[in-house]
Amino acid sequence: MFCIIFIIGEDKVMGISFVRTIILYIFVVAAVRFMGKRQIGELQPSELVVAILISELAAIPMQETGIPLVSGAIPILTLIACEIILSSITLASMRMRRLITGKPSVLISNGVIDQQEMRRLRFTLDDLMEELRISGYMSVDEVAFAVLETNGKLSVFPTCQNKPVTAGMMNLNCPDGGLPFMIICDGMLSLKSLAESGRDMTWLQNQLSTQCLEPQNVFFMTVDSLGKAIIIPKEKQNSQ
Amino acid sequence: MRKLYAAIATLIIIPAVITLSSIYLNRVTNSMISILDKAEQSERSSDVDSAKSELQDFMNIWNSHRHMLATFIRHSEIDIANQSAAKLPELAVSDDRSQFYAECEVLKMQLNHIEDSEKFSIDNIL
Repeated sequence: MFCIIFIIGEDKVMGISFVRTIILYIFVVAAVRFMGKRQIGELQPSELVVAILISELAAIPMQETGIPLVSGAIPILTLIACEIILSSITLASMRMRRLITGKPSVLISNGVIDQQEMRRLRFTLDDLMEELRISGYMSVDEVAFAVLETNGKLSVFPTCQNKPVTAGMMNLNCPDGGLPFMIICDGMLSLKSLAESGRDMTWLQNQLSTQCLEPQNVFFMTVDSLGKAIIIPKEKQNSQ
Repeated sequence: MRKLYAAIATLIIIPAVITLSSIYLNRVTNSMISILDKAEQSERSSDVDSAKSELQDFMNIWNSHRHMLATFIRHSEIDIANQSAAKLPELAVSDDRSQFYAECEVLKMQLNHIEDSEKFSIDNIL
């Protein structure tokens, strides 16, 4: 494939861009992976800045073949190193954490909207109502507290009357099955998960034989610590 | 914690690599400029054979280092120096010496510019 691209292209710019794009793609994916899971999910202000800058820095040497690849890689590496060091510092120091990521802001306290805080954060009433609706509350009087987190998400806590009923409130004793183990995924048997669940092949065969199934015919099978197994057979494909 | 150590190591290695590349660039450009000076002096003293030999030395150094230079210098900067370097051997044997001197100056200025543009200075940072 590489040869074809180089032979077809009279000037080699397209081929160079192609190879550079692959190199930078692998480099940026590895770099973001190195930053860790926290950065991939909820972005803090400094992480957002790094994410935007990395995308820009990677794009320039991708398009401009006259710029050395190293001049794109060095700033990306530097940014990631700085971000990791900064996140380590914020982890160790509360003061630095407040300085870099800020602190959560209470927008609704005991059912009362803090208008001054909303003005300070430039958070409109429409934004607030939208976030409340997303959280499943139609009116402000259903909410006891609303906290704007440092990652920009609004955490909503309902008033006592609007809290969903839990098993604890009803004094119900419900056994906890724990995290289910994925025994079979798309016909692939995981012996490691089977061992971790404390079951063996005999148990598995007994479970599958009740539905006349073989592991390769199972789309999805899980078992929890209480021994409750969920088996979903594979759908038969229509031959056309 | 390993990631933190890796990040600190990266922030140490990157300036070290930049410093080494800067030293390398300084050494290479200075040696090329001094050869060009010698070739220019030989030409001024009408010693065309010495000038040709020195230009050959220059071309050898230039050809052996330009690929390495292209890994950390903008390719357009290398191209300008490349064009001037290609003209010099022919200009050295032509009757119009002023063009040879002019091209030598252009090449020396370009090599100086390449070196200056990579220097860790306030001018370049700002």
